[in-house]
Amino acid sequence: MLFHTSTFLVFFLVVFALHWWVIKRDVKWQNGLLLVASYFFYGCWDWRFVALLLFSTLLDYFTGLRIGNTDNERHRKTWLWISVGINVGLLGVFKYYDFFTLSFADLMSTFGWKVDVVTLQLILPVGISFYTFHGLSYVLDIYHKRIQPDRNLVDYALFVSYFPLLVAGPIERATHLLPQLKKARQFNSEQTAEGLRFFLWGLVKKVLIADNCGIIADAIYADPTQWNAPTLWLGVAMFTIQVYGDFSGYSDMAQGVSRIFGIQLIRNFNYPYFATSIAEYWKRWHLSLTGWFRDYIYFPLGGSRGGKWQQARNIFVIFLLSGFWHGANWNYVGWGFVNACFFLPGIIRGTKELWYERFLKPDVRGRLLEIGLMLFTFIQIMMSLVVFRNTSIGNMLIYLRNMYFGDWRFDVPESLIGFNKTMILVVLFFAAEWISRKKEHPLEQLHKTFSRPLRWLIYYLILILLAWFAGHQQQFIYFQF
Amino acid sequence: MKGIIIRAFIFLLPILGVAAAYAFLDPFKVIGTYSNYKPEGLALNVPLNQNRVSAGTFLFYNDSIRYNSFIFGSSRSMFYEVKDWQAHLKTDARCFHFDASAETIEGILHKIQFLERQRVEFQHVLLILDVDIFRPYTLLNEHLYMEDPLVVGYSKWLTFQSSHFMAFLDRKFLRAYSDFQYSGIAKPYMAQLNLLDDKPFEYNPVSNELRYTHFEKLDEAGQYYTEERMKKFQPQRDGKQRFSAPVIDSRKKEQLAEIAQILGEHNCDTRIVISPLFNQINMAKEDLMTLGTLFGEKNVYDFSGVNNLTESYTGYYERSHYRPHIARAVLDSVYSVRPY
Repeated sequence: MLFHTSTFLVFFLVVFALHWWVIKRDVKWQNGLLLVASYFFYGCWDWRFVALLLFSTLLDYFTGLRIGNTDNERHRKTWLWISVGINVGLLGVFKYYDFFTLSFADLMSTFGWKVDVVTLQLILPVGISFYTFHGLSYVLDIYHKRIQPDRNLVDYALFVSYFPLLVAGPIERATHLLPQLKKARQFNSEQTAEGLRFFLWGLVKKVLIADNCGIIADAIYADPTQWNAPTLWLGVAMFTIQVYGDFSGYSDMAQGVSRIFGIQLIRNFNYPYFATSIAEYWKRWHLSLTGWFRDYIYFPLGGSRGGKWQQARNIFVIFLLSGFWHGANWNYVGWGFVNACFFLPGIIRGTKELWYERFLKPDVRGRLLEIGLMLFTFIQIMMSLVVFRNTSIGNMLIYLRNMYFGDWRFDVPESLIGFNKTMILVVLFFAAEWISRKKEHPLEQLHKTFSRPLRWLIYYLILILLAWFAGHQQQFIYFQF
Repeated sequence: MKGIIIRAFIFLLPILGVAAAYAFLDPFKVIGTYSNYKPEGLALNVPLNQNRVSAGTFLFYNDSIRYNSFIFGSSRSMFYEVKDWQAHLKTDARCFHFDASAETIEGILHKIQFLERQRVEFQHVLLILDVDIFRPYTLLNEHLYMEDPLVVGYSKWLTFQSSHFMAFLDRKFLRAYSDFQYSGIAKPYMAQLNLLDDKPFEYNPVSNELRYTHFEKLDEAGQYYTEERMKKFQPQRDGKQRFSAPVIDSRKKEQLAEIAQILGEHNCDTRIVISPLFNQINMAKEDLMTLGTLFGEKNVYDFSGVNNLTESYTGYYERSHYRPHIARAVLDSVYSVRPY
């Protein structure tokens, strides 16, 4: 059940009506309803995995209670490891088992040893990486005494399975979401309108930007050998924008839906392509995941406290893990490695100011320099996504070779369907994001700037654009993670 | 809350107006029921979902006719004419062409299950297959190729209807459709962009049979294989025997087994035709063996690969579809020993 389908619209309207009309202000019933709705939502993907979600929830709920109920450090640690072990084990079985066994067999075969391995060929349960990380953060927070265990199973189960964030995040924290679930929620028309605007902007990102860019990126990636170098650059650029539109679009829609139910989710994206360095980019991209790795892996490993070598090691650890989190394939690990490498110059330099930093002032030269740095950062992101997208090293090398050493005559191939339309949409989109980069999204607080007729005109215009210029509907990229 | 709902309703009024106009016009014929989905003689026709045409037509006529013989397949099965087939069958055979564009084996299974729910007595079935029917289609989410909720159940109703409504809102289609509705004039751009169909045809709603007699007449006058149309035959074949990779996996095998089981329970005379496709690529031997095991070897007739039916391009309209005389030759071969 995708957010931008008619099926979801009906589901949402039913839940909305029950939540605000039938139940009104009783928090227990509100949470109960959202929990049932969340399990139904998850079941629509695949009923077989509802049991897995329930098991994961019960595991962390009970281990959380065990950890919270005792001061015996040995017991606390044992329960923590039981939870971490089973969570990571489930993730390992469903997501990584086949990858590791086949990689092992490949490695052995390079030494001339033939190893017969048994693969499970399991279907990856949608959202498993997201709800496993929800549960892990909860148990770790209890262990580190940041929170008390929640004794209300319904509230906790809703924290894990809340449908707007269940299948593609953002990865919530108990410290942020659980307190909101404890308070009775009252209908607020301004908040609902804001939620709808957030959802609409997510829809723009997904349907107008990601799906259209996806058509061009898919056409170019389908056979990199047939295109000239500028077209291959265009392909990566389109994929880079597609990933952003797709993932942040989903996050925005999730935020929008959630706000309509009176629950605010943590911010997942903050205009990442306006970052002027790779370090800044990672403070703007998939914030809930980077925050998770920072708090539960990077800091416990020592962060940047133990000198440059230790910092570099920790950066590599979290990026390689982040790569693995994205998928069981070496291209994702490679993507993590490339990103970690981009951090190295900054680590080596330390706090020393760069030569150009003194020119970064709010004047024309400073602005131009800023734009130049943004472009440079964008190119770095593109390079990492060449690795991310190509599932084999051979394809990646061919792509890179042709990107740099291919034919450099520029002509837009006629076979790229909708090129002009997509370019116009992309330019308009980034212009809108640039103008509103201080806000959460370009439609935020629109009622404070424009009169109702003008606002409605803008909404109609967006709806017409969505109906007339939508790309081919594509699956959300991050659902596979 | 009342305030925001009233505002939302007012905001949505223009959209509801468009939806009402769509429901009234029903351009894709997916809202009302029709005795004839494809009336002849119109200058242009809106391309329809063939799943709906077949299922809607069947439901309209079945009570009075009680069909018992069916041809299943993709658009490639379109040119098997019922009168040709009927000549080979029992005299009480009442035939219906239950085809769909971009048909899949799963789609055929759903249709057979649907017919069984309608208490149809299967007497004769002709399955027109090829490797493409076993391949995953990416088109199945598009309104023209979606399975019909009349056949697969109402859980798909909303997706089916909303896809058609969104197709109606497509700016190119809306422009061409409104232009044609308003002016009544068929303009070249309408057909060139495949928004509306200008190919003349004959349609028999009782058997759900479509015939492009216009093309046949052009061929008789030596005007069909023009330079423009010959481009649709590229790339040409080299006349060498080739085999496709096996396409029947375990899931497809289960679906075929289910089809065989249902038809077997009816003691249905089932014949399987592997289409003589222009590409002259043989179906994989493993796939033929699977079909033979499930339906009986004597009931599987393979016309794929290099043979006298696939030899000449004149047996084809373009690379994908073969012509009625080839279909007739196939039927003659399949029913060469007349069992009735």
